[in-house]
Amino acid sequence: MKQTLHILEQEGLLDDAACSRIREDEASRLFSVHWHVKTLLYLGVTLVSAGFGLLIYKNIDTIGHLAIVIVIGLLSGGCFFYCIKNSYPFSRLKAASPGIGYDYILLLGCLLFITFLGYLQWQYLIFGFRYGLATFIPACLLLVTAYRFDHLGVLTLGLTLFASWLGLSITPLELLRYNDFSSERIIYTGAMLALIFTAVAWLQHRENFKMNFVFTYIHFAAHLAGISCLAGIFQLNTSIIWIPLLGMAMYALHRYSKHEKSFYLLLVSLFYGYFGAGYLFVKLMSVMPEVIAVYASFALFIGSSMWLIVYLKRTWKSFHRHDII
Amino acid sequence: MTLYNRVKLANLLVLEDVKAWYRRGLVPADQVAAIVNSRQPAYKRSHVLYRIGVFLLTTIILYSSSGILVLILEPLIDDEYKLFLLAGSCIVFGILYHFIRHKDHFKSGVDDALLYNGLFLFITAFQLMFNHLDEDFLLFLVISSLPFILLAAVLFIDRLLSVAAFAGFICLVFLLALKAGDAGKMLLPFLMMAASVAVYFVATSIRKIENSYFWSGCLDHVILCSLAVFYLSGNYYVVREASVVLMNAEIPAGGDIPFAIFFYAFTIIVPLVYIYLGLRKKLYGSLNLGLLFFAASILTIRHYHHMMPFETALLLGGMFLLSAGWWVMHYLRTPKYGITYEEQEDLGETLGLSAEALVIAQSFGPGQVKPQGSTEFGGGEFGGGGAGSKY
Repeated sequence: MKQTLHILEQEGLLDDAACSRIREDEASRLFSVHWHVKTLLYLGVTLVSAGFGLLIYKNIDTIGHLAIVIVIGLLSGGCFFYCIKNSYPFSRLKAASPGIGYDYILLLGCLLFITFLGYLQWQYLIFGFRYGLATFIPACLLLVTAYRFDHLGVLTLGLTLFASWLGLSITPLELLRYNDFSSERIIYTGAMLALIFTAVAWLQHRENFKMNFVFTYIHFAAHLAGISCLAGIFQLNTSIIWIPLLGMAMYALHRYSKHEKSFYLLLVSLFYGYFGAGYLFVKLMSVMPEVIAVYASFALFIGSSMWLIVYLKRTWKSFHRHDII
Repeated sequence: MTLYNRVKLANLLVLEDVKAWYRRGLVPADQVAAIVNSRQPAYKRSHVLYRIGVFLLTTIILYSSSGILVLILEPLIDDEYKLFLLAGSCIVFGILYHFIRHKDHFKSGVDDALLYNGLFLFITAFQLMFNHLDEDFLLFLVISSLPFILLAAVLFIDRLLSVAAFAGFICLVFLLALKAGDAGKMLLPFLMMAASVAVYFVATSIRKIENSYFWSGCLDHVILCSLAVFYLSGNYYVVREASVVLMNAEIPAGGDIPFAIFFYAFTIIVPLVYIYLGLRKKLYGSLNLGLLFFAASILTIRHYHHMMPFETALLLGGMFLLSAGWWVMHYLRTPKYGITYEEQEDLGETLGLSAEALVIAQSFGPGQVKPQGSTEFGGGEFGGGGAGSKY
C-alpha cells in the first residue's frame, strides 16, 4: 500500500488531497475482532443451549416438568421483552440493528420459544395429535419476528420450519440427505414451495418491502425448483412434464440473475440446466449406435464446457462493464 | 522467476490497492480512471466462484479430450502407457504455457486446472516409471515430487502448491526421522518443531527481500502452516497418541509419556502466545490459529482428565464464551490499542445471502423429517442448538 501510494504520488496521478486522505485512513485503520466476537457469541449460545438441554434431560425426574416449562417460557419471554424494549421502530426497508448482542438475544429467544412449545407438545400434548399445528405456529411466530425485528437468521429458521410443516427439509445439508426424492409427494411439495417463495419474493420486490429478504427467498426457491424438477425428471413416470418445467424455471432464474447482476444465481441456473440438458442428451444417445454415442458424448462434453467457459467470461464482463475499476 | 508477466502483475497489484481506496471513498473517480489508463496492460483477477466453475469445466475438457485421444491411439499406446502419461503431462504444460504467455490468463481457473492436472499426470508418470513398491515407497515419492512441486509453486506463484511443498517437506522430515529408528521416534516432536521453526525463519527472511513481493501471498500461507505444525507437533494429545502408535508403547494406567509436563505446558502456552502476538502485531492468521488451538488445548486436557460431567462442561464453557464475548465488546467500546470490535470491511455478505443465516438454519433448524405415522410431532426433532435430546 505504502509503495503504491508513493509511486502514484510521484507520478502525479494522485493529487495532494487524495494522498493525505489515504495516509490519514491508513493511520487510523483499526484491527477488527468483530467476527471473532461473533464466533465467540455463537459458540457460547450453542454450548449453553446444548448444556442446558442435556442438564434438563438428565435431571428430568428431580426437577419436574412444570418447573422446566415455566423456566424456559420465562427465559424466552425475557429475551423477547428485552428485544421489544430496545428495538428500533418497524421499517419497510432494511432496519439497522441496535447492537450485536441484540441479534443474539433475539435468536436465543426464538430458539427457547421453539423448545418451549416443543416441550409443551411432547409432555402435555398441547396440540393433541395435530402435529402440523405444532410446527406451523412456531413457524408463523418466527416469520413475524423476523419481519418485525429484521433478522435474516430468524427468517431462514422460520422458512425452514415452514417448509418442514409441508413435510420437507430445506436446509443445505439435509436437502439431499434426508429427503426421499423418489416420493412423488415430496417432489410436488418442493416445486410448490419454490413457487410460493418466488411469489413472495416477487410481491416484496414489487412493493419494495424488506428487500434484504428477497434474495433469501429466491435462493431457496432456486435450489428447491432445481432439485425438484431434476428429481421429477429422473424418478417419476410423469417425467415428461418436468423437463419443460425445469427449462422454464431455470430460464426465469437466468433472466432474473442477469437483471439483478447476481453471478451466483446465474451459476445455479446453469448448473441445474446443464444437468437437465445432459440427461436429455444421454437419453438421445441411448438409442444411437454405440460408436456414435461415445464420440458424440465426448464431443458434447468438450464442446459444451468450452462454450460455457466463454459464456461465463462474457457474462461476467457484462455484469461488470460499468465498473470503473 | 515466474512465467507470468511481471509488469502486468505489478500493475494488477497497484490497481487492487487503488480499488480498495476507491471503495472507501478516498479517491475521486476521475483520478481512478486516469490511474487505470496509466496502468495498462494489467492482469485481471477472477472472482473465486468463476474460477472454481472454470476450473471444473477445464478439467472436464482435459480428461474428455484425453479420453478421445486414448480411444483413437489405443493400439499405438499398448504397453507404453507410462510414456504416454509423461508425454500427456508435457502437452498439458505446453498448453498451459500457451495460455499464460499468449492468452493472458492469470489465475482464471484455466491455468489452475492445467497446472494441477499437468503436475498430477507428471508425478504419476514419474512414480510409475521409477518407484518401487517397497518399504521406501513413500520416501521416494516425497523426495522425487518435492522439487517439482516447489518449482511449480515458484514458477506459477501458486499458494496451494506452496502449502503442498511445505507439507512435502514436513513429510520428508517425518519419514527420515522414522527411518532413524527408535532414537528418531523419540525425538520426533522436537524434530518437527525444529523443522517448522526453520521454515518459519526461512520464509520470513525471504519475505523481507524486495524481489519476493509477488510471492508474499504464498509465503504468508507457508508461515501460517509452519505455525500450525509447530503447535501440533508439541500438542500433548498428538505426541501421546503418536508415540503409542509409532512405538507400540502401551502407557500404563497412571503412567505417562516422557517429558509429559513439557508437552502439557506447551499445549497450553503456545496458543496463548499466538493470540497475544496476533493482537500485538495485528495479524489475523496468528490470532485465529491461537483461538483455534486454545480450544484444541482445552479439548486435549479434557480428553485425559475428566474434571466434570459433560453437560456441566458445556454450560460452563458456553457461559465463559458468552461472558468473554460480552467483555470484549464492553472493553472495546472505545477502540483500544488499535483494536475494535466494529466491522471494518464488508466481508460478511459477499454473496448477498448472509452465510451467517444459512449456518443458523443448519445448526438450529429442524432436523430429519420423519415419514408419516410417526409418534413425533410433525416437524421432526428440534435441537436446541445441537443438544440432540428430545423434549
